[in-house]
Amino acid sequence: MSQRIVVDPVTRIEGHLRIDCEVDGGRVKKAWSSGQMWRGIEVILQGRDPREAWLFTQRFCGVCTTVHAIASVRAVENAVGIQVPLNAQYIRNIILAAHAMHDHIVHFYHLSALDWVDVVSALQADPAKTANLAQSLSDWPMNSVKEMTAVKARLAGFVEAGQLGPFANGYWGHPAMKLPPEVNLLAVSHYLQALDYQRKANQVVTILGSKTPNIQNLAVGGVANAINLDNESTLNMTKLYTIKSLLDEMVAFIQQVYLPDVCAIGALYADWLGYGSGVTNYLAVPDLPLDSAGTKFDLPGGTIMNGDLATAKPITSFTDPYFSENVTESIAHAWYDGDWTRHPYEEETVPKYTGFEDEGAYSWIKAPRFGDTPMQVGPLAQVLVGAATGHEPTQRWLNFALDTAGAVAKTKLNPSMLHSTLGRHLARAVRTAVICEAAQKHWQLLVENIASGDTAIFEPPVFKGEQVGFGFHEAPRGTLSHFVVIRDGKIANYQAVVPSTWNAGPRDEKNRPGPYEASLVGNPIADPERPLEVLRTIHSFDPCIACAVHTLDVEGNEIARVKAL
Amino acid sequence: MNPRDNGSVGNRDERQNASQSGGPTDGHDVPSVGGLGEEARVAILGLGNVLMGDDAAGPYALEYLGSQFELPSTVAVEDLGTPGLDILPHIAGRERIILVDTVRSDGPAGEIRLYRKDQILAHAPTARIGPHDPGVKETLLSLEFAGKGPADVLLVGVIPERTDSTIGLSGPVRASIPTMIQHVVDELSALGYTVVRKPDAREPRPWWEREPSDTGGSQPGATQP
Repeated sequence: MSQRIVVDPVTRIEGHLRIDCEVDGGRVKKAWSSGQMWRGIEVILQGRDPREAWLFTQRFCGVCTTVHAIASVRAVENAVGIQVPLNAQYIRNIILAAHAMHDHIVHFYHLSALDWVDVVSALQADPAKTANLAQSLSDWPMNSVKEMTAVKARLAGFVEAGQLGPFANGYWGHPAMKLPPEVNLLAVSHYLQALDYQRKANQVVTILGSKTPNIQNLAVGGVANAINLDNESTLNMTKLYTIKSLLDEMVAFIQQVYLPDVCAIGALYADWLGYGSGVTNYLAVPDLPLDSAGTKFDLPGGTIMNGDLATAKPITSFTDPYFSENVTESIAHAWYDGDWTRHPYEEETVPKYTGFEDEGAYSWIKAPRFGDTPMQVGPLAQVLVGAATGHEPTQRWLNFALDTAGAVAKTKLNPSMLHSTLGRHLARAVRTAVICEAAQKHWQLLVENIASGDTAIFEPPVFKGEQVGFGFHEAPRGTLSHFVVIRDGKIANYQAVVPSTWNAGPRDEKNRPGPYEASLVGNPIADPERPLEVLRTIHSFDPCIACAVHTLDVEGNEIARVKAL
Repeated sequence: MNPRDNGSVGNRDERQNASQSGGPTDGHDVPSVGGLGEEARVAILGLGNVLMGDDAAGPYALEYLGSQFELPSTVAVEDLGTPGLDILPHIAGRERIILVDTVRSDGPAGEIRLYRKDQILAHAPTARIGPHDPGVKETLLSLEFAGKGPADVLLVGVIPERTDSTIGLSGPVRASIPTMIQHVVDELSALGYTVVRKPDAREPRPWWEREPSDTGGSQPGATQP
């Protein structure tokens, strides 16, 4: 008999991501992904000055602040046709790279590792064997027996005190948990270390952005970081070298801890290379521009259709019509008035709520399509596009990851196995390794450019009549794009098509499911009461249904976030 | 050319705070934190989304604090929006934390609730889906586990009337802001800090509440600090 699982962990408050699965014979047969709260924040932007749109867009979502700020300034710059100075590109790039490193480390250690790591089991681990295993994976200095012994003692103290602390909500002892105790202890130890590296990445963003979350240094046309190497209050050599040393520390952690951990844990769950593929059309946009015009990039963009790398077609510039002309959104199964599929410039946002209808409307999220096709976005798309277009750093780190994981799993892994739940985790770690190297490179480019005597940071925008533009950013969760229509210097229309919309969107007018929905079909479910496997697949996308409201609920046994798209 | 030289970026506190050094600026006490130099031992953290009605209470209260009071430079004041787990770097290593936020509780809109760390930690966290789900509670638990948590936390909460896509506080919540900040000031005093009222106290003017037409972008040069 089939059952229906509803994963809706904050049903006591309105608005969230809700996942419904029909389960039969221990497998997911059908799935629905539903955004439970109306967004419409774009409406707030109408009539405002386009130069300050980014201040508002970075408040869409409390976690994705920086990415909405950058997409917004790029959209307005595209609309008015200005190019930003090289220093501004490099400074923005370093911020974006640091943000991405931070985001991916937090996602793995703090959000999704608990889907795979049984913390309680770590109490059974032998610290010496754990250290031995860790040292076989990398030369990280904090993999000593002493370190592992201390972490185990700390964990034991917590459990004896009757609390599991931050791990209290895990599915401990679930039949799908399969790591040996030593790997679990290794993960707990690196979880603790990751807390410090989260802070380091944050410091880079704070030095350049003045503040995080919600950076303050952007402007349409450039950045506000005055450059004077001899002035204490501007961007100077002291600050630049502080950034460099923080980036170097991040790189070491990513290369020696995060990536090897994902490979080792992934190898021990190799069966998850067989689940969760779903939509295998991929979209990534290029990022980390190397010139003012946005025609050369350090990270490649493009599309791949039907999982076939030979179909790769590049997206080559900030003005490439292959991207801008192919994006549409369908509201056929969303709670809006009408059933149109339109380009973002032409969209309107008129809510029409009907309740959850399996065959009708069931989500506030629209269904984005690229040239009429559902697309998966995110690190897997980024890595596959890189691999397909001959991007050397992506290919090098992908090979490293497949070799490392293959050695632990004692099998040969190849890129075709990446279309999966586990593949998304591996790809995210590979992408982080690529980005951390790029961050160091862009630091070098910035310093060299300043040394050459260029201190330009800003090019003023000019508004006149109707100006229409788009800006994109390949954010940690995937392709983010903002579309703006400006009339006489005021915003007339504004739409954001965000990564979690591409992935979490509902069925479209042809009833084709979105990536979350498609990826769940076929997943095993060992215990419908504790649908760990559903969380594994959904978490592998790093869902972020743009956060809208923050309300602390101390008395009601939860600290809740309401989100909207 | 500096973007601040032509008035293009408007008269907003966010912009004024974005001085190139990240340091404090005129009329607004937001020290540079989390980046360079020494860390403040105590932090006042405002939480909430400024685009969602009463959810702006936390950030608004901080704006009110800055407009009315002179704080010691060793106290950090940070509007963090809705950071989820990204709040961690702002709590880690600090001795005391004062949170200002909306809270879900039985009672009329505008009523204030105070909680301490042990009350916040009294219940287990719930399941998590996205990066926003683990928040203050999980961050505190993680830091306790790592041995880096604050000695105590005061949460000054207010019950919201509405948290939908609008800009601006409801009457009851707006009326409660001075009392919320008095709780913050009392806590700082109890911790031994001297907090004085500004002789030139002004009305709070949060950047997000200004009308689209007064954002100053069309008046070059008119908004120089």
